[in-house]
Amino acid sequence: MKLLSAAFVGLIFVLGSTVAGAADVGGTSMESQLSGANDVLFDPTPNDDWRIIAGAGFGYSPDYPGSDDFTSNPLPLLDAEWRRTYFISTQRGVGLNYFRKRNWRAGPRFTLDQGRDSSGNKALIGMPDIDASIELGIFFESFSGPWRFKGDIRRGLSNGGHQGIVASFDAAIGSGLSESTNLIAGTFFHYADAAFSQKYFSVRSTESTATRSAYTAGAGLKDYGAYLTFVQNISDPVFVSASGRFTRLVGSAAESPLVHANFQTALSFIIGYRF
Amino acid sequence: MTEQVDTIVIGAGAVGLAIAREFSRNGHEVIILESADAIGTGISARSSEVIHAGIYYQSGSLKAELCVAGKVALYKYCESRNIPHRRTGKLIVATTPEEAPQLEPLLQQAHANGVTDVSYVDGSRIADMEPALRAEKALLSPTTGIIDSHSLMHSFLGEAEDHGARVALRSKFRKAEAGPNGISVEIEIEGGEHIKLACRHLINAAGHGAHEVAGGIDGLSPDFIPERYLAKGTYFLLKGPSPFRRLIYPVPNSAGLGIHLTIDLGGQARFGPDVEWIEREDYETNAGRAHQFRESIREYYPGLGDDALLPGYAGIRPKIIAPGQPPGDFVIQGPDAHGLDGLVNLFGIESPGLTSALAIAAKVYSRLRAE
Ligand SMILES: Cc1cc2nc3c(=O)[nH]c(=O)nc-3n(C[C@H](O)[C@H](O)[C@H](O)COP(=O)(O)OP(=O)(O)OC[C@H]3O[C@@H](n4cnc5c(N)ncnc54)[C@H](O)[C@@H]3O)c2cc1C
Repeated sequence: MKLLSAAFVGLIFVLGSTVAGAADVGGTSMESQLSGANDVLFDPTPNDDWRIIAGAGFGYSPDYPGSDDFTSNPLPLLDAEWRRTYFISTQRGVGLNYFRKRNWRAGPRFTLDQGRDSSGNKALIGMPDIDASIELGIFFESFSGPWRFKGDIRRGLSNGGHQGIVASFDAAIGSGLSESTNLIAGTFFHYADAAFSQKYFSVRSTESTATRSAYTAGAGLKDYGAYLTFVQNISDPVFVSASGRFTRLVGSAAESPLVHANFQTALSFIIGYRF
Repeated sequence: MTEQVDTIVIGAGAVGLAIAREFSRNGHEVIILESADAIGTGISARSSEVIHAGIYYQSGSLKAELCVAGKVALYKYCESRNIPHRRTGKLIVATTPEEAPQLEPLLQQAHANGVTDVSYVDGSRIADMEPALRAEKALLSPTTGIIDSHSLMHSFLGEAEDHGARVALRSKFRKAEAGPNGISVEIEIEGGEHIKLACRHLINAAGHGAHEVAGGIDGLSPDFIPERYLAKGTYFLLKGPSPFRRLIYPVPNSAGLGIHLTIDLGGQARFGPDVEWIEREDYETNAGRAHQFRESIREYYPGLGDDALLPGYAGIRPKIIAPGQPPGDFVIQGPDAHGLDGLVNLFGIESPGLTSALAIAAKVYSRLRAE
């Protein structure tokens, strides 16, 4: 029982990232949804086994980074890790725990920036779509008691998508409210280079209108914020989770004419199963 | 068998949408064709968003008639539908004693157009009203205002749709000919496919595309298609808060209203548009024009800082009168003019087309009803 609940503490970091990340701003990247499954410390599964978490839910988040309109969408969850080394995950991307020590890990990975569909929101009329972009990056994640720290740096690779560099840092604390209820509170920061910022926050003069003037976004701290996640264990393998994420766009991104709300709120709900 | 509809409106800009609303409210089945992938991306996306009072336009012109009627209708519409707008008022300023006499004909014109609330304000009162303004004398127009043009267009569309109208995006009018079932219209839809629709009424509100549309209407004599000219207008934004509460206009020049200051509903002050005659549609904002802007603006706003202007956007006026000629009027051509039943062409719907949209729609409707 003790082992299971310990595993569960690790698991809630996966979920904390999953649900909070559903509302990531500035490229809807998986990076901020990077799970922090504390499996190195807590995972009871043997070394050569698969560890798989699957689930589904829905998120309610701004239409695009900076939008004051909201949209709800389904949130699939799959996080599979083989021999605690290779992972494929809707949250973490596809990668390798190249360094794998008792309380930290790091390695390379591919993530996906989902881009922006400009057709759905009237503030984006006449703006180009931003295609999804495969990103290559390196990440680290470390655990210390109830704390988890993580971060990454990654670069977009796809034509049509962003080809900029984004870096993130995230610190979270997890605590058990009861045998079956856990809480995670975290805070995060994102930095974006000029290429990324221009893709998401610039308006070229030919795209400018009476309600959207020309604007050139630059490099710098893009956003920071906090999230809070509850995870409720329903039965041994089944859990539900609810999360709220609050993001403040700052700097050059916040001043973009595409940004109608600097303060972005997102909510998400997930039901999941641990195999 | 070609599908039959009652009315086809070409163009989902402020004017086309107002027309679609008018026809659908009066019980007509309406399809709006729009070549772009969204409504309101043409001329209507790049205006000053000012509700004009109707001061400048020649007596008896459609601009004078439709601006004044359109303004009244538009304020009523905005109030009843909660469309963001504000009656800011506007000052037309003479900055030197030499310019001051140019205000009198404007006042006379305003009164002749029925805009009787326009009045003089002298230098000392101007200083109280707008301390940052340099003006010898000014005309105050209390009914000039500003509007969120996108909300307006969405409201027009919403109301038209509530009455059964449909908008077909990425649907470009190609050609039309009159036949036994009314007017047969060929439309290019996504993927390059062509489809046909027959209609009883065809309304060409295609903005910059109106000439090309008219050229594709079989049986319409080219004599009814005016020359097409494009006059680009660039805007610059003012860094920081607006120093003025009202809209500030210099005395007008031959092609436009001069580089004026307007304020959007978010409080952002912007200057423009200037006038640059161009050959092809080109929305690039040329930051190099800031120098000329600064000179013109400092005539009435001497406090303008050297780095206070940021490139904003550019709009293009759909002119039908050559450079150097007196400003032309709106052209709303019905069957009485060109002889083709059910067809109305709109040309030269430049400013004050946004203000006039509801009145233009009523005019188009009455032209076809009179058939
Ligand atoms: C710089 C500038 C400032 C202005 N400021 C003001 C102001 O402050 N106040 C005011 O009252 N007025 C102002 N106006 C005027 C006002 O903006 C216009 O009169 C009005 O927006 C015109 O609307 P429209 O529907 O005729 O044209 P548009 O908005 O251009 O709509 C026409 C539509 O037709 C579509 N189209 C074209 N060809 C085809 C085709 N073949 N098939 C299908 N669709 C087609 C286009 O894509 C477009 O969406 C200004 C204009 C300019 C240029």
